[in-house]
Amino acid sequence: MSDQRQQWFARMVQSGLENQMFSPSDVLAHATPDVLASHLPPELLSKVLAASLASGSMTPENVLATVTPELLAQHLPHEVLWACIAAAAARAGVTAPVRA
Amino acid sequence: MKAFFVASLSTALDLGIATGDDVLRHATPEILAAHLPRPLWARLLTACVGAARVDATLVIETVGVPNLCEHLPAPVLWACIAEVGARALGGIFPAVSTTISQPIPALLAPAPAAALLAPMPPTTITPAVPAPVVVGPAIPDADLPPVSGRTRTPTGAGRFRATSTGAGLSRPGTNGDRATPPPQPRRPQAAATTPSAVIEAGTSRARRPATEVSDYDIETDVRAGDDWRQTLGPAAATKDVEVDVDDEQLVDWAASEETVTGGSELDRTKR
Repeated sequence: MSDQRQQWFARMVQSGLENQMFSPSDVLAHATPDVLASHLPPELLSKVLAASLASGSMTPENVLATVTPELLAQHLPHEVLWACIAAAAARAGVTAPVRA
Repeated sequence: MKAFFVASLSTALDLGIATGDDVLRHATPEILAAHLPRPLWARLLTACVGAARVDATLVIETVGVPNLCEHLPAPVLWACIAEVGARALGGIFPAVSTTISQPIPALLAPAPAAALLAPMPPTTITPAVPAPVVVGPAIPDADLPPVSGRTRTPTGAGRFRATSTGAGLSRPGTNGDRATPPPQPRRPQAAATTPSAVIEAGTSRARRPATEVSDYDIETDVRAGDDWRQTLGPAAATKDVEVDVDDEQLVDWAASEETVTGGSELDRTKR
């Protein structure tokens, strides 16, 4: 069950990014450096740093290019990802209840 | 935004995160009737008429998630995704930095993590009570060793019966705690005569067929000619009188070892 939930959250994050429901910066607004440092494994942290060193900057796009939605869903608490998705939905104005 | 809804709902349904009931709990028939175009309704009705069982899965599969996300209002779809997401998170709701105009009831209702895949009733969502922890069987298995240091009290002789009855005495050939009496020779019994002649001589009933000899019942002849009261006189017929009986006519039943079933002794005791 955890595997399915992980896949689902990964798919939602990927779809939100693809459909510009939220941006990489929105993701990193919730997946803060503290969160990333606390939950990402060392080898992934090193990859992030290496990619940033290679490009000369550590932009949210570069971070998410390395830490893909699958990796985010694999390592980060799903509550963090859900907060990002829910915030995007609230910004889009789709959280208001609707009656038939 | 719709593509996100399609991806989220489709993935949730494919992965078993959500069920058709989860979707139809928000995409109610009223909402479907208000927003689905007629061709989709025609397809849905055709599928439902020909289906052996109409359920939420059939509706979702017939209409299709892309069509649902295309025609239903986004808040409805989001409410469904939000409920599934809240359930997937085990009722833990992270703080959202963005101000939400109105609270979502589904987000406010806590749900246990154990009920992640459990189909929810079609009514409102209520806080589920966590399942009680099963400590062990209510009745311990007799084959299992005792948990505590106590030993079982042997249920042997004399526990429930008085020893004077001899019912619980341990005898050779017993099995376990129960005493089984050894086979003993039967006491000699007199040969029983067929009572049919006696019955027919003293009763007015017709003889039953031979197949019913096992359940006959003996009736006492109460004909007036044989009434002992009349033989003793008219006074005895109306009130109780004392009858003189010799000692040799009395039978000591307690000392009798055999049961008399016929013959002259039977006639004597009946008087």
